Amino acid sequence: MTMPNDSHPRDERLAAYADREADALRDRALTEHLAACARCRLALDDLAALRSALAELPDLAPSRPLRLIPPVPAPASRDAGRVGWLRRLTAPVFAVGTGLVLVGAVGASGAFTGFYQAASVDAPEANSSADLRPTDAPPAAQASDVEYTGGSAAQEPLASARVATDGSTGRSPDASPDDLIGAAESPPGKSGDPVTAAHDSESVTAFPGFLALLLVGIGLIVVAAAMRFALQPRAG
Amino acid sequence: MVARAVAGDRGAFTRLIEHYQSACYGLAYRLLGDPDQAADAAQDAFVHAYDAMAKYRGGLFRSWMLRITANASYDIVRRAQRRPTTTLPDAEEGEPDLPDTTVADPADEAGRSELYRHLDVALRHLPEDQRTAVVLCDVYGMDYGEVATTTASALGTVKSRIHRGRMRLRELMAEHRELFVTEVRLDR
Repeated sequence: MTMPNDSHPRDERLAAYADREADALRDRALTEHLAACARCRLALDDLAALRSALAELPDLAPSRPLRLIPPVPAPASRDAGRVGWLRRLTAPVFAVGTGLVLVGAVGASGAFTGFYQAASVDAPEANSSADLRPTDAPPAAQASDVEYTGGSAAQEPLASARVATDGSTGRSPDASPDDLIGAAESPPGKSGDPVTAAHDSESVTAFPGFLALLLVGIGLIVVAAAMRFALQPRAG
Repeated sequence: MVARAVAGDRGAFTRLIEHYQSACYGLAYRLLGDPDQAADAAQDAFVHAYDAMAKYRGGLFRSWMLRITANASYDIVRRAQRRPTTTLPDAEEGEPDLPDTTVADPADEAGRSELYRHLDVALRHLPEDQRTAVVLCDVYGMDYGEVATTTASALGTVKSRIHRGRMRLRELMAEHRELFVTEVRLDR
């Protein structure tokens, strides 16, 4: 491959020769040109000097201190693990406690309300019975009758409540069968109603149980909160 | 030392990185042209190297670290390209900010030190693709294949960039020919 002296090799060929690539070194036209062309030889020499200097460029000191290794995450993870363990332990206690408080509160208030309503439904009857008394009686006397001697009607709710507390049916022991039939036909809520009386009885017996649930729930919540407070990791 | 670092010895890894941190920082600085970005890239490279240490399969540790550093630097370049507000400092303005070299600089080597300083400035005048190829190949000794892999470029493209970069450097260094006298004469 011949090459006129005034025609310089392309840069890629010169670079290949500078890199001592085999095909460039075997290229007779190229080697003959370089032997005769001072300009191309100078370029090759410059490139060699440049590469030599570039290879000797020193390393550079960092402009600021570098962290050479990632920080150990162990202490943070120990705290995180401890907090997680604490939450896993106390969360169910909290949940059970809260549930018990809700059930206890609803149940106790229901039982108490049922009992109170049963007692208060009979009270107006007593008042209405008192109202049927002769109007010519002096008001003070009426009030006195209602409160003290106003007849058995006014005393019946209290008596009924007392009997219900004892777990009886709300009937006086000497009630006749007719009275029982009449009572069965009377609307619920009336004094002496066996359904109401049974309800009252269940309410009264359930109330302490619901109250106990409520207290146990509160206790569990307090215990769980105390555990979290006592065991949680603190700074310092 | 490398084997201990591969086995998970943090102390051994720290000593290795202490030894190579100037090489990694120097490569990042020459690729990025900014001291802060170079420090970030070097530190990223250390973290990547620590995470990848178990996958290290032998060979020159320095070359392995330099490849990781080059990739970390490339990541920073790509992030900068997505947010093109950061520009490389002008070579003349940046010249006084060149970090000190770790090599001792005795008086009789003042000329050599001056040569290195001008070379670093000239490198920063190259287009980015040529600078990257020349730095990886001629300064840090990667072969063409490694440069092609690191820069995700074709082998022919890498050769062309390196040659054009060298020719451009030759032009830029022409006014400092006297500095090559003690090395290899550019004008012989």
